[in-house]
Amino acid sequence: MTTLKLPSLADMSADDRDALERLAKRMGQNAEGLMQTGIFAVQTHWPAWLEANFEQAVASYLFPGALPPLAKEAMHVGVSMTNHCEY
Amino acid sequence: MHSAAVLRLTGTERGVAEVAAIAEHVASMTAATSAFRLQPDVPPATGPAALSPLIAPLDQAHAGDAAAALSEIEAWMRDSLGLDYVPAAWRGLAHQPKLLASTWKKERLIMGPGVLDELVKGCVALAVAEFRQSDYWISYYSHYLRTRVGLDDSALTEVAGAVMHYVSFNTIAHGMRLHPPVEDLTAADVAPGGPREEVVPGVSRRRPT
Repeated sequence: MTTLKLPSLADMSADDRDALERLAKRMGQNAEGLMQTGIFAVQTHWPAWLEANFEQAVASYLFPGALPPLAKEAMHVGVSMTNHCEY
Repeated sequence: MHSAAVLRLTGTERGVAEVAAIAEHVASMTAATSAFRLQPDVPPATGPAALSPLIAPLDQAHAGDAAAALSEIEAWMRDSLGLDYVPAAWRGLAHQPKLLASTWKKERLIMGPGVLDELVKGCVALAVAEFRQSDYWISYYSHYLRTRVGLDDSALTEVAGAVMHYVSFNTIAHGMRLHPPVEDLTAADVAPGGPREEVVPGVSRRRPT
């Protein structure tokens, strides 16, 4: 049981729906797909928050800098294990 | 979730085991340096310590049964990190020679050659130290990454930025009580064409527009 029931696109304001559709397109999917499950879906109650986190992720975890993807993924696993994050 | 990515990128369960080993090892070492109340000394401290240690690190000349292990560590520090001394964390453990010897042996096993290369291992160690907010080990592994694989301030900020993301998303996953999307994975499950390849995040990620 998750903390919040996932929202439906039909219940969103026009602004939130537009923001979500715009963001979903940037993420290579559609809004319905983005809202189905997982770490992004639970942020769709506040699309502007999701967008802010996505922008930050692009500038950090997803940033193609000096570190290879394996380093980013391995760090993610290491921190999540230490933080007892089962997800 | 991201274990699937490590499985995909390494092609073996050993890759995830190596991450787990570094995570638990660094977490345990942060407990030791906190217990000793050690100030960072890698790279060499430039001023007096703000607080004195609760347990004084042993001098090598008075290390007794720990002398051999400290000599081995001294040689490694000189050859690998360009240091002419044994860091206080190791000299603190020297009060219990068997603990020092077994911990150093484990350190070299975990951080030595494996499925993950030295850059990846050092990044995991630093990331865990940053998450645990250990001044001592943040300083130690930042120096390690600068010396061993040439990371600069920009790259070390990239590590810190990534850790910020992990902490944020861990917090969301905790707060929203998300269920683990996978369990009992094998490398074969998430290999290209494998039965669970769809759970791998980011490996074939599209570049954001």
